[in-house]
Amino acid sequence: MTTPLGHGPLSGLRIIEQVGAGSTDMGRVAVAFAGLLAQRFGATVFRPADAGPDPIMQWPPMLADGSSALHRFLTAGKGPGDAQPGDYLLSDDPDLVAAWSDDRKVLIRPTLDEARPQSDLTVMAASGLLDIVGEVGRAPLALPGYQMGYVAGMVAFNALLASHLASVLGGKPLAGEIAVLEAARWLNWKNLLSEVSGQRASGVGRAEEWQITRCKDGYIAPVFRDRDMPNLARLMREPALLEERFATAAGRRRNLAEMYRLIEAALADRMAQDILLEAVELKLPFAQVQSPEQVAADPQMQHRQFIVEGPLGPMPRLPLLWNGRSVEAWQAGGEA
Amino acid sequence: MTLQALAGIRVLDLGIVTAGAATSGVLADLGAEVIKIEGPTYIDPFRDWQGTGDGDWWEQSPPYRATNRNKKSACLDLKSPRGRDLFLQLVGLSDVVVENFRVGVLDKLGIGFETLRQANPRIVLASLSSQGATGPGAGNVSFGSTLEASSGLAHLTRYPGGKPQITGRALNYPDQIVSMFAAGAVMAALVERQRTGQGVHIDLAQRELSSFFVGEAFIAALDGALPEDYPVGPPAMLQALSRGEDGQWIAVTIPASASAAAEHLIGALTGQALAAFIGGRPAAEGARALRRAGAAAEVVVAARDYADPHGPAPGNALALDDAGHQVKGQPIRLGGRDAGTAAAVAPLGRDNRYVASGLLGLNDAQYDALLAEGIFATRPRTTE
Repeated sequence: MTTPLGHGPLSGLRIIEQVGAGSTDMGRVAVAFAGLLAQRFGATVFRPADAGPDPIMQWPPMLADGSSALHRFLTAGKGPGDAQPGDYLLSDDPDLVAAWSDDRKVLIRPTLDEARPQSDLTVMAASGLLDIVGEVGRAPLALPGYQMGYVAGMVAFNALLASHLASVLGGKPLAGEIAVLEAARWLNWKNLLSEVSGQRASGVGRAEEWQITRCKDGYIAPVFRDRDMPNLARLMREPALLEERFATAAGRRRNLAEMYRLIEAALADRMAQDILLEAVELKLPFAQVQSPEQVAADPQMQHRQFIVEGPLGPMPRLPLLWNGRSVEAWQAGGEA
Repeated sequence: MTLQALAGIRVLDLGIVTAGAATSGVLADLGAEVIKIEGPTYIDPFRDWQGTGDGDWWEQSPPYRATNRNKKSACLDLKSPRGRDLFLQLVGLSDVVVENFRVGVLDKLGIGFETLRQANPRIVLASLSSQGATGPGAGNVSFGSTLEASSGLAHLTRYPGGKPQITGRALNYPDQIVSMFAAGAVMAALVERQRTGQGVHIDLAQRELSSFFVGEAFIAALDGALPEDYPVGPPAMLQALSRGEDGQWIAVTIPASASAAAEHLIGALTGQALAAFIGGRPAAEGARALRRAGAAAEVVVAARDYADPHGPAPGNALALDDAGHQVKGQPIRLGGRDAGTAAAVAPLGRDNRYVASGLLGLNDAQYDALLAEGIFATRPRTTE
C-alpha cells in the first residue's frame, strides 16, 4: 500500500505521524487527529509501518464488521512510509521528538509542568471542564468521545502550520510543543476568567437560562432574550411568561424552575418540527436535539454534502468549503 | 510579546464576540498584525458583557478584553461609501479578513468576497457562520447551545437514559473549538497562497465543525452501530468518577499497565471497590495514592479553584496583559517559548491614525476631516 500524495492547500507538505514507547493512549488520538487535519488539508501523512499493531483499531465505537469507526476516521488517507529530509514529525513520544534531526517537529505532552498520567477524563477533571455539565448530586458528565485528544491534536496541527508558515514566509521552522491539559484549560478560559475576575458563580448547578427541554418526540434547545419574551409566550401559549419576573435574564435565572415548568408543560404534547416551524416565524432561533443520523439526513447538511463517500464508506468531510467546494472534492478532482 | 511565527502577515478583523474575534486573537498570538475594525454604529457586542469598571462602558468587559488582546483597534464606518472605500484600500495592503457576521451582511456592506478579491487577488477571507454560506439553513442564527443540539454533540452527552445535555454559556464548546480550527484554516490558506499567488474564501460552518469533532460517531451511526452509552476516551481497565469522604469528586482511569498495582491498592478492579477506596479518604489523598499506582487520577476542580492563589495554576490558559489584566492565553509553544505577556486590548479607535496615515497615506488634516465626518471615530455613536 502506498500513501496517496496529498492535493489541496497543503499539497507538498510531508508529515510523519509517529508514536513510540513513550506514547500514551490519549496522545495517540491527539497525534492521529493532528495528522487527520493535515491530511484533509492536502498534506501527505505517513504512519510508519514498523510502529507495531495500532491499538486504535480496537477502540470504540466498533462497526458491524468488527472494525473501529475511530480508526477509520483518524487514519483514512494515510499510509506507511519512511521519513525524508524536510518532513515534519508529529509525536507524543518525547524521545522520538528529541531524536528528530531538525526543528520540523511538534511534541504533544499530557501536561507542561508535571509528569503524571492523564486520560481524557482526568484532563477534563483537572481543567475544570468536568464542572460544567451534569446535575447536582450526581457524577459530572464528560464531553463525549475523544474531545481532549481531538482538541490537543487541533492545537498541535496549528503549531505545525505556524512553524511551516514561518519557514514558507522566509524564516526558520520552529519546534512546536503543546500540552493536552493546557489546551483543555484554554478551552475553558471564559469559565476560569469569570471566577478569577470574581464576576459570577459557575459550575454544575449554576442557573443556565437556556436548557434542553423535552417535547413529544424528542428534545428542543430553546433560545430567547429579553426582547423575545412576548414571542416566547405566544409560542408556548402561556401568558404567565409575560410576567415581570421573567422579563429580564436575572429574573429568569431567579425563577428558572418555574419558567421551565411552564415551558415543559407547553411543549409536552407538541412535535419538534411543529415547534421549530412556529419558532422560525416568531424569530426564535430554537434548535432540535439531533442524533448523528438525523444530522446527516438534515437538509442543510445534505445540501452541503457534509457526509462524503470514502473508499471505506461514508465519512464527514472537512467542515469548511474552499472557494465554494469541499477540499475533499478538490482532492478527488470533482465538484462539490 | 507574541510567538512571531506570522510576522509580516496583516489581518483585518471584523470578528465579533467569540468565534471571529477569537480566531483573529489566535493569529495575533502567533505574531500576525491584527487590526480589529469596528464601526461607530456597530461595535463588537462582547463589549457589553460583564463590564463593571469606571470609565467608558465599552472598554470594561473582561471577556472582550480577554479575546482582543494583542490587536490594534480602528473604528471605521463601513456603512458609509467613504469608509467602505478606505476599507477596500486596506484590504489591498492586507493578507487576511476574518468575519462572523450573519450570512449576507458582508455583501450588503458591499465588501463580499468578489469585491475583496478585486481589491486584492491574494486576500484570504475567513467567513465563520452557523450553517455555512450556502443551503436552506444558511441564514439561520445559532448560539453555542443550539449548535450543540443540532450537531449531534448534545445527543451523545447524557446520563444513561437521561435527557441530552449542553455545556451552556459557561463554556459554549462549539464557540471555543472554532477559533483554533479557523486559525488553522487561515494558515493553510496562506501556505497555499505562497504557492499559487491566489487568495481564497473559507466558508466555515460551526455546526459542521461541531459534528466533525464526533466524526467517528457519524461513521458508526451511518453503519447502524452507534452505541447507546457513548465512550469517553480510549478504553481502560476501569474508568469512573467517585467521591472522596470530603464530598469532592475525582476522575480515575486505570490503564492495563497499572491494573496490577491498582488492584492491589483498591482490592479489585470494579467501580464498587474504587468507590469504597476513594470514599474512605479525602479525594486528593485518594488521587495521589492511585497516581502512585500508575493510574490517571485527578480531583474534579471547579473554575473557582483557579481564583484561589494556592490552587492549580492556569498555565497558558490565561495570560497577563501588560496592563495587569488576566486575558485569554495561547497553548502553543514555538521554539521553546510561549506567547508571554499579551499587549492589552486597545481602546476603541486607538490606532485610527496608524491606519489612516501609516497605512493609507492620509495626512493629518485629511484624517481630522474624516474624524469630524464620523467616518473614523473613537467612541460608539449609539451612546450619545
